[in-house]
Amino acid sequence: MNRLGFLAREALINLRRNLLVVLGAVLAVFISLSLAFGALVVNELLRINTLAWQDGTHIIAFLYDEGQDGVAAGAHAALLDEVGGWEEVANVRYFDKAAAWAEYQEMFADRPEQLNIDPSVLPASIRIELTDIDLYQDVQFRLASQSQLIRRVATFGEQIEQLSSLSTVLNLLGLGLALVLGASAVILIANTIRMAIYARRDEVSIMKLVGASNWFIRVPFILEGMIEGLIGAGLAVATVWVAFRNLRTIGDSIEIISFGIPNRFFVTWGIVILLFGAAAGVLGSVLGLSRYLRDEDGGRPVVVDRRVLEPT
Amino acid sequence: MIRLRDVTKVYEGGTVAVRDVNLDIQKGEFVFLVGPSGSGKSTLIRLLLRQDTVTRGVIWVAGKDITQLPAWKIPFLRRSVGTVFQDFKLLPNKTVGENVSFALEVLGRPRSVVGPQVKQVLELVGLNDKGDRYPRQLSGGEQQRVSIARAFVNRPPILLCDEPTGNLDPATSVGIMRLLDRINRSGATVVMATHDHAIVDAMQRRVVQLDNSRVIRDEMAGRYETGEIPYQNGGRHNGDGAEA
Ligand SMILES: Nc1ncnc2c1ncn2[C@@H]1O[C@H](COP(=O)(O)OP(=O)(O)O)[C@@H](O)[C@H]1O
Ligand SMILES: [Mg+2]
Repeated sequence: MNRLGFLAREALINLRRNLLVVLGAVLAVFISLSLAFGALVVNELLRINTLAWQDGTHIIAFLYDEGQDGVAAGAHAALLDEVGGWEEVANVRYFDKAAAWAEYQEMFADRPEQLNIDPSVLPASIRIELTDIDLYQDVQFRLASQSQLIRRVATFGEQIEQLSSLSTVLNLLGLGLALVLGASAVILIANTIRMAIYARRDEVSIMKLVGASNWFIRVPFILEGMIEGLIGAGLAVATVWVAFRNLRTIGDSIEIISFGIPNRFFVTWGIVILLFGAAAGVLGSVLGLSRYLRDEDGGRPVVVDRRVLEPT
Repeated sequence: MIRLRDVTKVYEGGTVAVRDVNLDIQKGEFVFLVGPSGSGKSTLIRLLLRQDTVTRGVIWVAGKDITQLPAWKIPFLRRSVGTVFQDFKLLPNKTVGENVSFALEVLGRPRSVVGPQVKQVLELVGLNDKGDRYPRQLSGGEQQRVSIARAFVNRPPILLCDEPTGNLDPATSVGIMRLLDRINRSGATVVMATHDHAIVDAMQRRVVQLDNSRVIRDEMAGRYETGEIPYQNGGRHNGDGAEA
């Protein structure tokens, strides 16, 4: 315990002494992880909104009326039951002829001439919400086998695919950005640690002289890197969280976009980001230390010119 | 305690700093390494600490071949060898007491052991009332006592000193030598590199004389110089890279 206290104290002294360089490293972690986390959030928003798009209706199957063309009474309810049991389907709603007429009237409220139709020609339908937008073709295919009951299937396939590929591009962009910036954060931390060692080279050389083991010398520097990584990551998580909260406050007035990311998402990914920051800090310190501690313990083999060693 | 066989050290760049040195030092001996500047004294001490590796030859310390020591075991070698240098190597931002206890703390000794042991060794070097001072508040001689206290606080069987009186006036040096003598009499083997004639002549201990990277004299109860061997022009050597 006493030993840990000593090591922690050394790490803190270190952090205080090189405040400016430490700040640089923290900032690098902060910026890279903010962008990475931000990209994750934007992507989640996109996913949620693609799913919720069109009031959560991704596929509409228009049905033949019951008691017509050999469609048995109760066939609609049976289909509703069956489709509701498919694993690709998150939710399915029955839209009867009255509801269809109500929707039709609402849609053409400003064009009265269009309302001059017989309401009974409008078909009942089932409206399907998918668990994953990418599954729309599977469901479309399964519905096709019910052709005696289903008149026509409408999907928002093209639009869905566009959004889906946009999300993929954003994902890759975010990932690439996070990778590049993450690597730069590691390098910056390695440099910080190297400068910290340089600032304390007398101390380190005395530690070596009195027989401190290498890991004992390393631990304060590794702790330092870890603290820098954690602070940067913590700031990143907090910033993205606050930014999202503000965005949601503004965005709640915009009805077409949903900001319903659950808190669980932020907790889970927040922890991942923190761990990532700590790991980047440790990696950076180990990189920063390796060169220094390697050189210290005796020279590399020297290529000796035989002549200097010949007896004289 | 210490044995060197055909030890040669060639630095990068081709300087032969130590050439074919053979030496046996018994437990409890006090040995002076003498010779002019550049004769290889410091290099020998660096080799004994594994701060550098030999180019050729073997060194045993306390029965172990330290030239074959893997890097992770080097700290254990250094725990059994105390070191004192001309420039004290004290940490300016730590007090006297902290400088000495640092040597025990980095070995992971519990605080209950560190406190009494530091107090005891500060008494030994006569600085028990100055534990709270900073190095800059001490005279050169007192600073060197602190560094001896740090070297000895762990009670190592061997003490290596590289010109410990090099920065001190003669009167102060006498005090330091008395301290080293006492440590030696308590059983520690002491090896001290110096080019201080007066000290060597006064102590009447074993003298190993180096000249131009070779041992040219090894004498029990010797003086710094003997009339017979001229050390200033180095006698029988030529072709040394450093001087060429
Ligand atoms: N790190 C080094 N690299 C190259 N040459 C060195 C190094 N250290 C010492 N030397 C050379 O080795 C020789 C012996 O030096 P040193 O052991 O310091 O002698 P002394 O301590 O007796 O003055 C000198 O010629 C010196 O220039
Ligand atoms: Mg020297």
